[in-house]
Amino acid sequence: MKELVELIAKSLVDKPEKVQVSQLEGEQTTILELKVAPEDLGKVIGKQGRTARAIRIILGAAGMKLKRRFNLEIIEKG
Amino acid sequence: MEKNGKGDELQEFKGKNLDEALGQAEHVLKMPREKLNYEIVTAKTKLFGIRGKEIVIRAWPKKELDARSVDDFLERILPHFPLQLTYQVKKKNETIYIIFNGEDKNLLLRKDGALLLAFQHLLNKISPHKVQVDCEFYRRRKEKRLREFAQEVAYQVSETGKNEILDLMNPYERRIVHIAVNQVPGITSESIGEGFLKRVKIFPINKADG
Repeated sequence: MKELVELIAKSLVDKPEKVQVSQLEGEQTTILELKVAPEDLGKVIGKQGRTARAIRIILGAAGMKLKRRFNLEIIEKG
Repeated sequence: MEKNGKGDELQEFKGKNLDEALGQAEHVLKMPREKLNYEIVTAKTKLFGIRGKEIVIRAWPKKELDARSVDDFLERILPHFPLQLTYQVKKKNETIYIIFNGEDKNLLLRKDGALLLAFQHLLNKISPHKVQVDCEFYRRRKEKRLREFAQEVAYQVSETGKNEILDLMNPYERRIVHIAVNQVPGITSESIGEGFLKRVKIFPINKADG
């Protein structure tokens, strides 16, 4: 699932080389931390959060199939 | 309006009818009409009185739709996506259509097509052209349902004379509602609210100001 988020994020941003995804496994939930360049933050979040929501819906559907919860967290790279 | 994308002045062509005007455009732009887009500027110019009917059109070459970015994106992500999906790319009227299929296509349509529309949103972000996604005639079915619902409400308004306000809808849905409502005699509609999602108010025409 890490690759999926990485691929989606990379195709949305201007600086794909700055995209990083880390995966934290919990008991039932996997947290995916997405880091992008600060100037690309808006690209992965989108107007009124629509792009972030779209990525979350895609993860949700994947989770339904794999019977696991995936949480996406978007983090601004300091 | 970003008709030709470059902001150039669009050339105008005249003729007695559309056919003649298009012929003129073909001649000047040196392209067959299949490769041209056009819009009608004026249909019947009354200014010239006796000369009567004249048609003015603006014509410009069609953009070659480039679906590569869309295709690449799907080729890359689908192998990492646990749902079994296949897709077909079609091009029509400056829009790229992606038609999904495959074993898990029903999951695309759950929750009012949420996943389908999520893909559409992302594909539109990465593509230089407009992208529409569809699956199992989802779009056609949804449009039909929405049209029927809007007219049902419109007839109700026409009987009771009371305004009705519908739930939040996106611009595409509102357009369908407006067209459907305005087919009911004496009833019209307008969008109210701010932002991407707005509500549609359906009301009798004579109460337009009230």
